[in-house]
Amino acid sequence: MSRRSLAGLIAMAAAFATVGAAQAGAAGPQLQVDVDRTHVRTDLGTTVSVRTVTRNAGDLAAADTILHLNILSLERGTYVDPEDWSSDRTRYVGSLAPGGSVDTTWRVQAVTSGRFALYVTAVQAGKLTTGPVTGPAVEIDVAGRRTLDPDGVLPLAVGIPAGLALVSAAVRRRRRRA
Amino acid sequence: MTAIAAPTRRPAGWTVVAGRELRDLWAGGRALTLTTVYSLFLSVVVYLLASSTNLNFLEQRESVTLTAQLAIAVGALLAMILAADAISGERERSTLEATLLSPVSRRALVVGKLAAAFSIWVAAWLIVIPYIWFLGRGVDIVWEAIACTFVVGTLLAAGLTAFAMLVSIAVDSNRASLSVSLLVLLALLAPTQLPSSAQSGWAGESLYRLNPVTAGEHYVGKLLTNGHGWTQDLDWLVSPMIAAVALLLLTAVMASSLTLTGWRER
Repeated sequence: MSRRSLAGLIAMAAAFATVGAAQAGAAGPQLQVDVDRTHVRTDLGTTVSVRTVTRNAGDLAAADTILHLNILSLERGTYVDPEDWSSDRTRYVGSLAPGGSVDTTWRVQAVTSGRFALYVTAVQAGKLTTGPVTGPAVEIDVAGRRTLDPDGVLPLAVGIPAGLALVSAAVRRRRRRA
Repeated sequence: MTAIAAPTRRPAGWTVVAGRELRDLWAGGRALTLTTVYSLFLSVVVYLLASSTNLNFLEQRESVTLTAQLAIAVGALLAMILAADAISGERERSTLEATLLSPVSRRALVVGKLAAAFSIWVAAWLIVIPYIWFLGRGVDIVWEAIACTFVVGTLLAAGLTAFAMLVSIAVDSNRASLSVSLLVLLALLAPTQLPSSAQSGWAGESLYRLNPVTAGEHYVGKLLTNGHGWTQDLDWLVSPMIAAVALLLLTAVMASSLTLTGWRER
């Protein structure tokens, strides 16, 4: 091996070592999302609160942090529109200093019975390539109750106009006789 | 010695007119026909809402809100139709001259007719109660919905009935009176069809607040769908209140200018 090629190998090795060292001590924001509980049991129509703590465990500030709440059904066939559960699902919490944290309370109304998972995702607006960070899911068990009897609507829908029509006809007949 | 009979108190002129008009409307069958059609309309709406088995809790509250809002709009429309016909209809049927010769003031005449036209709103409210009960009992908003429909509907029906009566006093044709009244009601209801983005922002919200119909319907929505308290959005009821009071006072004032031919001939 020539002297020149040996010098080249040493230079490459030095370069790799430098990059590796830089990666090992990767400086930057590191977001973590924690929840105050992992299971909630509630009734249909009830509003429940879930608290999350979003922490920046990194050594640089996490700028433009956005938190977003999502809900999905754990049972196939149950339709979920998260907007029905909460109309306030995105919070712009701004910058999180290194070691800093933000407490967020999410109020959701259980609008459908069944088993659901609720989770909060943290995203940095200026660092989308690093990917969102998601906290542990909260399982929500919503006990169902019968709120509407579709079979009972027919007697009502027919009975009221029919009753009024009968009274109207009786009044007209009486008037005609008079 | 003969006993002196205590002087009998004569009923107020407007109550005599109102009594006669009420008999005419209800015993004559016209108001009953209108309320039957109204109940048929509510039946179709409630049947469609209730027969959808996939309604979630929020959608069920929304269906109560929709029923209450429709009852208010259509109930006020019925009262408007009767008020729009009250004076111009008599002009067209050539019965106004005889009515004007009756020993009551013109103001009493107009107020009596206004009260009779307004009675159909009270009937419309009574009719919607079972529908609201059916849809709302599972989601615990029956009493709020019934009370809220009464309060908002009464304010809107009072204002709109007074407006239709003013038009009826002013124009000599029944067709013109009905057309103007319906056109104004449609114009007031039109902003509810705007996309939600047009309703937000300074201009959109101002328009919504100033328009008594949209403001009243908005209040109903906030109370029933969003579960807000009675006082939380009370500022939305300012324009329906002002409209009702101002139009009722204006009708009472303008009643004295009631003529056989309307304002065209003045």
